[in-house]
Amino acid sequence: MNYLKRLSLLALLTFTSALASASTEAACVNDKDGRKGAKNGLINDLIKKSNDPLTAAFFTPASPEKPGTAGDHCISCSAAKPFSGMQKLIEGITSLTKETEPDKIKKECIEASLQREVVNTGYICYDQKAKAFQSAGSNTPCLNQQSVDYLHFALNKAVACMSQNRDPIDPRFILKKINNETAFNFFLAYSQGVGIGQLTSYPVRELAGWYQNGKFNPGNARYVLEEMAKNEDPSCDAFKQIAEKDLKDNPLKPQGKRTATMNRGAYCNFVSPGAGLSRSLVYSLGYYVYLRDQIVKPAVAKRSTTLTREKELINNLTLIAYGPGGTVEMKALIAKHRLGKNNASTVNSKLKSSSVYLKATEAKMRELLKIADPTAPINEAALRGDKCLAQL
Amino acid sequence: MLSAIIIGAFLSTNAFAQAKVADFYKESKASLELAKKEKTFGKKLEQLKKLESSFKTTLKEYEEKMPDEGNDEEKEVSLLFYTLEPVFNMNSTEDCVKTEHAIKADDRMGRGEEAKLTPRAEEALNWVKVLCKK
Repeated sequence: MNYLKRLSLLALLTFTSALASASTEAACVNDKDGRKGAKNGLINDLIKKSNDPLTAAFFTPASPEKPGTAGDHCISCSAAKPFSGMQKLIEGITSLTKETEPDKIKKECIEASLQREVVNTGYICYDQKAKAFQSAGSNTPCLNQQSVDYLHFALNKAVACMSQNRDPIDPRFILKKINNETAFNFFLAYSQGVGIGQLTSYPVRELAGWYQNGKFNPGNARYVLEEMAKNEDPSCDAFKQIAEKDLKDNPLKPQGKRTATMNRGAYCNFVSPGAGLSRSLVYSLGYYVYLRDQIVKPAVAKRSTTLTREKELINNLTLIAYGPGGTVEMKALIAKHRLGKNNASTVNSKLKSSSVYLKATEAKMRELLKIADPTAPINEAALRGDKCLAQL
Repeated sequence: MLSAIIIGAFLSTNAFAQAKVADFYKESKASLELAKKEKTFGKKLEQLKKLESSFKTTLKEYEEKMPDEGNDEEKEVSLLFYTLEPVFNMNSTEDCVKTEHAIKADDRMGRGEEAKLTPRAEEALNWVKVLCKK
């Protein structure tokens, strides 16, 4: 009798736990007030099924002693699973998750960004085939807490890995860029941009190189991939593998005599959960680093070498160079605002009113901040992204 | 008092007499025609270097006349100058593909894969075409 009682209690506990888990999974973190009516959880399933190093690292428990507690990112470690043929990789990644690596961007800021509605075409990838859907209203995919944790993990990991052995990437500017481009809807793609950072062929070719008229052109930013391919930090394996692969085989198709372009056949390489997200982050952040270090800093140095150390100025100019008008607009604004004669602070404030792209990113940042905390005042520091940094 | 007004008016007239972007399009097209007649990359480049020098002189004058902040006319000249910059930096026909790529990449940044090129980019690509013609 006692045994039966225990058994029924256990059954009840299991049932309750399953219900709780289901309701957690069903909650759309990207639609907290239900305004969008998002309900399709397919993306959540695809993330769980992704068989790539980034997803493996996310689901890997932090330590054997405490299974199911992979830092703060494994919220449903009953879902943690071994990936066939990846045991060695997982062992390597386990050592990294033990590190007390500080998060750079707070999860609540990514969640706030995800509340924004970005209407566009989204893609679901099955076996590398892209199926389009209109990501709007009730067709917006419903991202559960685990998927948002995954995005948070992926972004901070990419920022940390892409910052190694160089001037570190300021994650606030990456947050602003992604918030402006896709609001973390990494599955969006159309003719004007693909994936979380809305890449086009041009930045991808600069990093991976391309064939034209039968001749290989390495691209000016190929060194970013080459450096990542040499990275020996096991925590960066997800990005290292992308770099190694793409140095051999450009992710844009077709190749050969034709110039590789970002066509629909290549979308899954940039929008699929797992490898697609990893690749989009490598290229979006990699191009940012290239613009900052190879174009913006030398342009500033022509007018004043000391101003190349002004991080906010350099990052604002890099954002401008990464937006409409590109590096031409950035250089013209440096000249117009008499950088060198005017100091960094003066030029920064002038840029905020003269650059259309900076104004747009600031407006979207304002939306994010208002969603994150409707009562908090939005001041300069908040707009800079300071409130979204976990550690300053 | 009258002389001050005359000097002021002269300076003001002089400030507005700076070459504008339309003048540079004209100069670029004229130089391009001369470059087309040349046979070698080096000779074509000489025409381009004259254009670059003309740009630099004018941009310097703008800065001298308006030391604190440039105006819209100057910015238009700047935009054409910096669009042409990858062409000014070419050393040989080996640079043709990457120069063309750099011009298109910048011009289409944030506007899409196949966005219509601006007249500035078209002008720069005209130069690439002439310089790279064998």
